[in-house]
Amino acid sequence: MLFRLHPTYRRLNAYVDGNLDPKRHRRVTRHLMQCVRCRNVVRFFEDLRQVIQTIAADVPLPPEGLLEEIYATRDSGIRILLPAPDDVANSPQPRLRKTTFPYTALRVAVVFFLCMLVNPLDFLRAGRGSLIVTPSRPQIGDSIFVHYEPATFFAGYATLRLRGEVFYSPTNYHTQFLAHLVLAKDGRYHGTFAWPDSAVFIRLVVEDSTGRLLDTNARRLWEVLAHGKDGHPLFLALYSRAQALYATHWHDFVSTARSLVRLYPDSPASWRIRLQEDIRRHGLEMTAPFWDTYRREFRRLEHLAISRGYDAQTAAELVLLASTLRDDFAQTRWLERLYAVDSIHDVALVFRALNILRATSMPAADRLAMLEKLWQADRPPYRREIADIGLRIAQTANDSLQPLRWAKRYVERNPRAALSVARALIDNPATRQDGIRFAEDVLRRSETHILWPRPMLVSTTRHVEEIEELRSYLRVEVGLVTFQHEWLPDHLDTLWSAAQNIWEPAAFTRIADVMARAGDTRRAAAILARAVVDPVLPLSQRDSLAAVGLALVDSMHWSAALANAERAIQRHVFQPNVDIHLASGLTIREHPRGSSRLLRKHLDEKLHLVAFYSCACEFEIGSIPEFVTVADSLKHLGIGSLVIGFPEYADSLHDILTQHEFSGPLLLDFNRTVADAFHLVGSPTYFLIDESGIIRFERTNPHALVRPAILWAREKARGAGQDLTISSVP
Amino acid sequence: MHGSPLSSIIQRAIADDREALAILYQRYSARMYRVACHITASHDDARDALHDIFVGLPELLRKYSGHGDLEGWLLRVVARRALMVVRRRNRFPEFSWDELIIHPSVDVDIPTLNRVTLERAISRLPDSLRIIFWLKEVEGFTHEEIAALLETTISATTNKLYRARRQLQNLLRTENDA
Repeated sequence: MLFRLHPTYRRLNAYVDGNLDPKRHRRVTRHLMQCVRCRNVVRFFEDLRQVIQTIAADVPLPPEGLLEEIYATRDSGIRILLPAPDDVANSPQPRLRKTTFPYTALRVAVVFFLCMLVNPLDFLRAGRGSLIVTPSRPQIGDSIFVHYEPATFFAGYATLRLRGEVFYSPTNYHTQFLAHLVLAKDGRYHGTFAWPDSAVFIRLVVEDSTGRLLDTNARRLWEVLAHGKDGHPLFLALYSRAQALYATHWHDFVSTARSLVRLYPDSPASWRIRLQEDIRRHGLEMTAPFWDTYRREFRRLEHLAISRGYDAQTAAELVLLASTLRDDFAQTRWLERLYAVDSIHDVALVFRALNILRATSMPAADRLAMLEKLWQADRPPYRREIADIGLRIAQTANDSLQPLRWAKRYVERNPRAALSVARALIDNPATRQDGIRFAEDVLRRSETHILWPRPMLVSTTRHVEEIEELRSYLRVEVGLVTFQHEWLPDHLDTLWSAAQNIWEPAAFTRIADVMARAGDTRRAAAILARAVVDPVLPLSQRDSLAAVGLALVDSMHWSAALANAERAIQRHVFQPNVDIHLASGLTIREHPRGSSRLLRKHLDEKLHLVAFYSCACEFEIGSIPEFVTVADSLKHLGIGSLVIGFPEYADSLHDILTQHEFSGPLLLDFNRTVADAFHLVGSPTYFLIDESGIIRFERTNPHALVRPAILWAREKARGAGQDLTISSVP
Repeated sequence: MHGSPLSSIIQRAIADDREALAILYQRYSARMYRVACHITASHDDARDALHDIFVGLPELLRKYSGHGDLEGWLLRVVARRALMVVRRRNRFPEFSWDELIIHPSVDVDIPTLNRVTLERAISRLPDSLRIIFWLKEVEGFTHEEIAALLETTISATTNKLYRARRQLQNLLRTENDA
């Protein structure tokens, strides 16, 4: 079995480490044989190991003289008692979660109850009932009896509805109500419907009377194929099933493809689907050895068609098979025959469109005009392909209208491609703005895309991934582009909604940065707050620094943000006097929720936070107690103290110094004489110098140019000591 | 073990014999120093850790049961000591503006590897990831040993190793772009 998607990063890691069991190891190995992307990741890991070994080998030897130092230390009588690594008594045990049966049972019960409470229908949807169709091999025109036995948890509905996705051909299908299912005494539901005329394949689901899905057979649906009189499924039934399951239900698709070849070996379509399966399974390169078989079959089918006579459809199928086989000569040969039989056959139109696509020497406008004629030929089945080609040509045109027109046509016929089309439009500078609007529209409608019947028809996982991919693209590229173009405000909502659905701290900061620069600080704060309140996310220094700063301003999770701020401090995330790049310009003290009060209440005991606080909201006075303590301890030595600060804090400073009964000599540079003379910038700087001019204590912003000031003060101290003892507190 | 040269050296070292201590130093200090360097990311801190261990080695060896490899046992000792240094240092950390650089998310682009950029990238990993990365990739510690050293669970160390690789990939890509 192959991976339908790439192996996870974790699994690739485990593969490199050799931690996978043999079965999984084989699966990853097989995937790597055909996936360049994953192979590159693995190769990166292996290269990493090799380069690491070269670095590791270069670590210098222990410094010279260390052994003598060790002897000297021991000689001086010093002994260091170290814990042994296997000293169980001294070593803390790894934190292991102990789970006992009663607690597990209790948890299961609570989860069950909550599921029922939150959305009983969604919960019930997970339950899978049993649906039996009689006759089991229906023929077109038969009456179909349905017996449905619901899942264990499911009860209470008197009647249910049976809805079907009815295929008339691989490309012609729609959903329709089929039958009411009535509850019988045996606890099962029964219903009847007539097989729709000319339908070949039906996929069934059960819904309630309001149309809400109740049972989808775990998203596999119940499938019913029309059978012939010989008891085999009809060719069109199998063909429709194969097309419906392609890229979504791999195993079922494979079995269908094989059934087609077994039951209908004379149909080119059977072999084409079988070849598609092989190519998808082994990759194009690895399929090559099998192609001799397919080529032999192609020659047989060709001979058969010529000997029996062929119609347009057979010729078209042979063209498609030759194309899948990459046999250009055979393809041209049968294309000419197709043109001769039916020049406006769907396949003929598509190949004409492909020729137009390849005619790159012609101006794009002319090619689009030719394609428009094909489009107007009104052959619905292949309009999707023509629209796709039109979009590709339009992307090269210097006309912003054409790409949008063809994009809409294409998406109308292939909604699954909406996201990739949006992205392609954004990539094109000429259609970037239209593309962004298109993408926003797609995202708005993305919820409806995954409504029934889409979940059963497309891989939901893949769809969600596509949405995430586009969101990722939007949040980074669109955010920055729109900012540059100064029409960001129109798109803040998009970024905001994107932020609700992503889980990467780096993306948080990127979006928040854009939002903050656009002036929407409230939402920027809320986005960043998630970086600290979400336990899943790593609490890296950058994110938490910015996030906590902003969370203090406006957080949806106020108490959690504070708790995380404390945790971040305990993890030594914060540094004193580090400005918060995103929080600058925000005034915490003016916030209506009283952040400064709460902050003090929770954290004023902590030195780091005092500094952080003082920087963030410019309450420099917050670090005065430190200053006072140091100065107080030194005053009996006759030490001079210098304070460079802002005059508006003079009263507070007076109060604090009085409260601490500090009466030492001070130089208060409230007029910024020193600061201006020495171009001090940033936060106020505090330092104490003793009578010898030695700096005993300093607290400053890292950006402040304090060294000249310190030198100056030292000079003053040596020259005229009175400069340092000008006054006490004003 | 009894009667082998190593056991006699250990016994002599326990008895505070300088020559035995010197033999152990010559034999094991290089690798111990390397482990300490990788964990602390500082030659000074590694030197201090090595100094402390050899000063306390005679007393420490009394706890050595004789089972298993002495070098492995000493490596665990030095790793533990170095971790203590890192934890202490983190209480009074030095600020680095490098930490504020925004790192893009993982992409499929695989960065090219060279020594200089890799060294720089590793130095920019958070301590918690860098230590596990070194212990596992270079020193060959098992996840069980790392978990015991770091007082955490095996799954946590496994996850952190994955995260370290992922972050390295990001960092290297940033370096390459630059």
